[in-house]
Amino acid sequence: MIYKSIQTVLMFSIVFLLCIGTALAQNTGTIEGQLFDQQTQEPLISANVFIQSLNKGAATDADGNFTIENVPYGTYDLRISYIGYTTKTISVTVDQPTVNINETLTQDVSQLDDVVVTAYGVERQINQLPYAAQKVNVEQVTTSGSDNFISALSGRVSGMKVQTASGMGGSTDIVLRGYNSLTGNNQALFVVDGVPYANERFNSASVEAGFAGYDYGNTGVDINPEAIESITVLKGPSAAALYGSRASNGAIVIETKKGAPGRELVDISYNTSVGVSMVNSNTFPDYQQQYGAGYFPSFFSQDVDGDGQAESDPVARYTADASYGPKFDPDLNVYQWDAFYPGSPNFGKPTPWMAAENGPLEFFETGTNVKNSLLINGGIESGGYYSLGYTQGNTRGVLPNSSLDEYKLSFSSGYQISEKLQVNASVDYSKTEGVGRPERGYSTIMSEFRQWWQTNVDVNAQKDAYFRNNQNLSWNLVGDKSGPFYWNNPYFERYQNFASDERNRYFGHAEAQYEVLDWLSLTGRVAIDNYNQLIEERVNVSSVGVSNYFRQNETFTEYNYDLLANYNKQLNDKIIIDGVVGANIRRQYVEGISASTNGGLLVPGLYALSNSVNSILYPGETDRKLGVNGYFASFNLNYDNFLNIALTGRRDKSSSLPEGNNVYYYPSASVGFTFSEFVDADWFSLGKLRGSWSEVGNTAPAFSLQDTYQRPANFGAAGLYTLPNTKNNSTLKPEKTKSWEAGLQLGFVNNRLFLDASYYDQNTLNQILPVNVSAASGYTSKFVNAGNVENRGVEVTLRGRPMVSNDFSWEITANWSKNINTVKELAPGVDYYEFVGPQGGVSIGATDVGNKAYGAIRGSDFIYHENGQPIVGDNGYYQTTNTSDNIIGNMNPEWRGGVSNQFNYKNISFNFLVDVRWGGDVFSLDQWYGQGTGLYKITAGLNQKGNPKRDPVSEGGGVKLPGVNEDGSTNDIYADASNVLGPYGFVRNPSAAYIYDGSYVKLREVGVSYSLPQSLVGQTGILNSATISAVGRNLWIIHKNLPNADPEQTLAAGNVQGYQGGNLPATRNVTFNLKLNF
Amino acid sequence: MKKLILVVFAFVLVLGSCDVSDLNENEKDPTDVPADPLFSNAQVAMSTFLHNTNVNLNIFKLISQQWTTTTYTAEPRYELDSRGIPDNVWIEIYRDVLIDLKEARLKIEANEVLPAAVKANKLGSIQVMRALAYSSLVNIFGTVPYEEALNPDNTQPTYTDGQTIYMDLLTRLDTAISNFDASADGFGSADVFYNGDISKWIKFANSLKLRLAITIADVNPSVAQTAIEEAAPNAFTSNADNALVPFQSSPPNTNPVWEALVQSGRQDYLPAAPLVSRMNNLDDPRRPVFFTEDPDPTDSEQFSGGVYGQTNDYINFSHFSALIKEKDRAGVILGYDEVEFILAEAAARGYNVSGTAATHYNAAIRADMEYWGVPDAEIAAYLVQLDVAYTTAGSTFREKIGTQKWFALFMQGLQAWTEVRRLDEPDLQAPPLAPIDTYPKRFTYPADEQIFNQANYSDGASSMGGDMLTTPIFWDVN
Repeated sequence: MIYKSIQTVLMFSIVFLLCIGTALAQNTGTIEGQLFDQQTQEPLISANVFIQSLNKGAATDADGNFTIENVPYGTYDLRISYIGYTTKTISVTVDQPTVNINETLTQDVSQLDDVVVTAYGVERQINQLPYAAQKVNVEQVTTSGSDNFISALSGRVSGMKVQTASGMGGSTDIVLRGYNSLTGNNQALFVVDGVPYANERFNSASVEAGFAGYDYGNTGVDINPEAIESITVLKGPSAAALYGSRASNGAIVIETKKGAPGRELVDISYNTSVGVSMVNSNTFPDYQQQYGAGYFPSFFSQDVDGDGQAESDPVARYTADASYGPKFDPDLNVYQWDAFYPGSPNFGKPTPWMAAENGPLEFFETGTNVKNSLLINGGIESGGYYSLGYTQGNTRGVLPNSSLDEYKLSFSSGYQISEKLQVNASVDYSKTEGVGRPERGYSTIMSEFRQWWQTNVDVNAQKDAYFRNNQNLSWNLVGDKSGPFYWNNPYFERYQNFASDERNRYFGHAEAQYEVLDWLSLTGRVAIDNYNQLIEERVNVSSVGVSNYFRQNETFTEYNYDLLANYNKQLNDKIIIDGVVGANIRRQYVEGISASTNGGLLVPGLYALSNSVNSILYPGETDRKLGVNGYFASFNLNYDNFLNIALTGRRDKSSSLPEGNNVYYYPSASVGFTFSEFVDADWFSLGKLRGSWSEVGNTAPAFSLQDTYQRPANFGAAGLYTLPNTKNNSTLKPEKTKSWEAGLQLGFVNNRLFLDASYYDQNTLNQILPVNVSAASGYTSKFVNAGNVENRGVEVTLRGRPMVSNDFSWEITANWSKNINTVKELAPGVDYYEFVGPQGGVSIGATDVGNKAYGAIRGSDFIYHENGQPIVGDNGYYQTTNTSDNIIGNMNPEWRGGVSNQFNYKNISFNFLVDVRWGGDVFSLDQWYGQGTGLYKITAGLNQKGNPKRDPVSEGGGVKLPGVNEDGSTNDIYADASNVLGPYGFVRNPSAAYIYDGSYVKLREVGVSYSLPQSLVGQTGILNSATISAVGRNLWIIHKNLPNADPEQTLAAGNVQGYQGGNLPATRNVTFNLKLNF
Repeated sequence: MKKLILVVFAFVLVLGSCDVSDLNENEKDPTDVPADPLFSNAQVAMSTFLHNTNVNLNIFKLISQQWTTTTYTAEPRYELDSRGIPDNVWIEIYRDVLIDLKEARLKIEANEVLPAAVKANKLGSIQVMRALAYSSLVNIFGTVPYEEALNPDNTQPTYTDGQTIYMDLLTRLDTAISNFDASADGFGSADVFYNGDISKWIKFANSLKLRLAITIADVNPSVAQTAIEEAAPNAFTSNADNALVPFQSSPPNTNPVWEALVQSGRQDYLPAAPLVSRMNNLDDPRRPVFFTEDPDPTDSEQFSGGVYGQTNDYINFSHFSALIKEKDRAGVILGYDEVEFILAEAAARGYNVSGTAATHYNAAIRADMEYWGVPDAEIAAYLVQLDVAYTTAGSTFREKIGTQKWFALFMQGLQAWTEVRRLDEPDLQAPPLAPIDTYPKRFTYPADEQIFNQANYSDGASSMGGDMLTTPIFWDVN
């Protein structure tokens, strides 16, 4: 059927060729010329020259030359633009075969007049857009030293949240204008050269819920960042309505670099970078150094030395994964974990009882990142271009035995077959290999270090113990010392129990563009996005728990067939209309199989399904086929450059909704009015108002219509089937997002001061969600259409150039956004919808009562006196509610912002970016457990009387907690703080005690670059330019409130945020780049 | 114009030739299955639940104070909410047991070709399993959804009081018993308890009827007496009749106790002092069967249990024996010893059952000890001890039977807890730092019910006198 469609497209393309191939001949000419910098008179490389009325343009080569061929005789507005320069529009009359133009541009770092690429490849000036879009500085993104270009977008676009889960290759959450869908995808759509680019996440639901698991990142990182020419962020549904439901959360539109068509010219650029990353100790536990192993301050008494006396042999409590043990005393010799392993230097020997010299911070290594890339862009004189790129990145993470290797090959080419027919094709291949990706969440190494650790354990001693014989010699032994209890030796865990993954991806398209009429062109395109992924997870014999080998193979394939008719016509000297009419067929196939060993591994260290102790269970099989057929059309009208109107419409038919309800429409309408055209003042360079409205539909997840039975493993001879946990619904309707927005753009003094502000209001209704229901109904959830989530907010971008002179310029850009998220309604009778119920007695979900938050955090709370103070009971500990449905937090921040500064002095430029998130709560399971086990400094030290807190209350110890007695008077009771049952941590406190303000202010990026002067570069004979730069990323967390961790870190990308437990520390990166153009 | 028409025509043809209706088909999971695998699943899920010892789901071995923990004491201290234990119990029984039983019943009822006797036997087996599941729910929570439960079109079912549920379960058991036909087939190999032997199901149904009846003996003596007198002659007569779940030697259907004690590699659990010390007092010959000897030579006792509800050093106490930790040790769902204890109590209450309280009491203890392989001579020696012999063991039948039944229900945590609450023997105390200072009478309701079924939750709670650990179940009146 698909093939039939391809045939149809091809057939019609041929029909067109035959019918129209001999189209009327017309006199045409060539515009050529050279562009220079007005001050330096140096040629401008890769500047754009564009004839809007013909939708035709060219880029300058290394000498600043450009050529536009086949221009029908006539007079045109030629727009000349270049990044960092003021765009110029000149009038050109073509009345002879060759028209020559030499022009100069003046520097303008405000970059206001950039051409952006909107839906379906329509290029527009950003000023003319009637909806919100923002362009990203690609240069800064690709040189940022971040291990994926998506995370480097953080702070650069107002209203865009980019949050990356901790650790090498972590998944990135990219959300525009807040979370809309309660259970569906809220991620922005990636579109590369007009084709949707799958950005699937590979982290299990259990990672999001705080349980142990690996995060394999998202597949959007497969794009070769060096080949990116431009990134445009279409923020609202209006901008993206043409792409259909997947763009209801906005779109990131990426165009790749193309060579210079029609010029026999080759551009070669070579980029190499070396980066290092180091753990930021400010985001890792700062342990107390006064007490060691134990839940209570006592040693084991065991007769270790064989003299028949147990009392004389103090043994550190190796079973306890806590540090509430006896006070350190370097004069006291104690048998510790390393006294019990033969071969250990301390075997059978007691050692001084003191805090470890090397704490868990020493576990982390210095990460490295080496990247090399080569990009060749070339033009073909007879019409056409090619672009060939290769990028290789090799990353070593800060965790031992972790690496991420990426190989990206991209090729694109186009050829002008005839005056009317142009063909383009591209193919990208990428290979991603991860080894030892970080495991996050509960019962991982990070949970061990942050929650359950003994401060007397020396990490280097654990390292030596592991490397002596590669065995699991853990500090945490079971009572009879026969093996590890709760925790493995962390080195054994890293070197033996690691996951690995490999993904091979092909992404390519072929298209033919045919110019039917001078104002109408037809494009047929076939695009394929395909990857195969293998994930393997390992747990070796002798680990805590059951040894295991798990593997998952998955093949993802998406086909997009597009037929587009682009039109662009100047009706008279004031009115230009353009737009597209199109059809899209999308088919997505996901096939996979996963299996794991059963009952453990027979031979240690052999990771094969056949090495299973017991026969393996049924493999899991995935086989999903989904499709959408869509028609769409857009109409843009520009009246005399001051009025822009855009109308779009799309009709989709989706396979995952029931027949009869599976067709939905998205209309959108936008208008922009440039009132500065009517103001004659030199200082007022731009004034524009815009407004838009749209309605976007969304479809249901696969297989949510019909009930099917699940197959548990056989019980002896009995085969089992069971009803599923979620009741499906055969009457689902499409989900709808209604939105409107208004915007204002103001530019002053040649746009040296520029403001772009938007207000938006969007409601997502009829949400398709598996609502939780009483399990007494026989199901725990049921698919319904219900709910209304509203997001309202303001986005502001302010840009200024306070200083501009011949040699020096300073530009400052501030992005600020505030989103107010309100759950207006859930399903009838339901006032809370849980996303996850992780450990710590908390639940994260959406509620339409209380703070009405998408991302409310619920849990037990303090009991407050009417004077607002928490009540302390007679025992000196806080009283807590025995209900856990109290709203104790909200994961959404109050606002986000970023300020970037760029200074240029001659050939040197310096930039820095400060990124701010203000507000938003985080529950810290690390503090909940880690304070409970006595790891953190707050659990030790001195009390209000100046005595050790951990001393008995009768001897002046204990802690007087801030709060009041039941009568409202200030608490004066000292509570015992000597052991795990003390006032800190999970035993005595409500969940609310571990809610922290997640605000942060970060120096996200500092960069300095130096371009060799053109005079010097010229002498080499082959070089066109050479730039060296150094970029520091995440160097300094200027402000935060969450102790011992980075409030920005999440467990995994996804709808659940505001929870930390077992996260990796943040890293500081410094990267050196060398970029050469030949 | 011709060109434009062609363009339009191309679009229509492209999309018209390609529909989406053959996509989104789940090709890997069935839309219909026979009743048998659903019944098997319910049977396995219920049995595994009863023997589970995962702290997120089944903490009854702790609550009954037969087991305790080494490091993490939240669960023996009745902290139910931080792990959502009531939610998990509720989900397990309603969603993973009862709905599959109902689905199996509907499919059998709709089966027009099934012989009537087989149909009756299958429906009867389903009713017995259903009674086991619902009585467990009542014994844990009290008033629970029943009449309106298991209907996805009504996701906010009302609650029904435990007494009404018990009465309905007894009626349904009677119907099942009278409809059973031992000469016809039942579920065959899909029946993991009895491999389809209906004569055993008749005994199991009667034994379960005894259990339900004795449970309400204090609150509804006349119903209890009638039911017990009816069921007594047809209940289990030896350990060969026991309802057992034959755990397998290969995961994931191994004995959950093996999973917790051996497979995990952890040392989280210990026999609890309240049990071990009482067994020590009576020189109970089951101790070496259940426990290892105390490894700590400084201790005077041969067997010792961990302090209940507090942290314990694993190495200082007795551990569970190799037998208890066997991978494929069968789990008792209802044993012959329990039947004999019920008959003993019935006799003591003056019901008309054959034999005396003392003979049934002795038979009960003997049945349990024989089940665990205690030699005859040791059983005989045990039974003649003054503190064991029925006439001298205590002043009331509650005292006499309570402690011995509690011993015999070792490894059947839920039933042990139920009997301790009902008989108030042995006298068990709440541990320090528990949220209540008395022995718990029930579980609090799932937090999910407070959210998703709020009105009915409130009605259910208030009809019982509150949603607390200390609110008694309807049968707990003495």
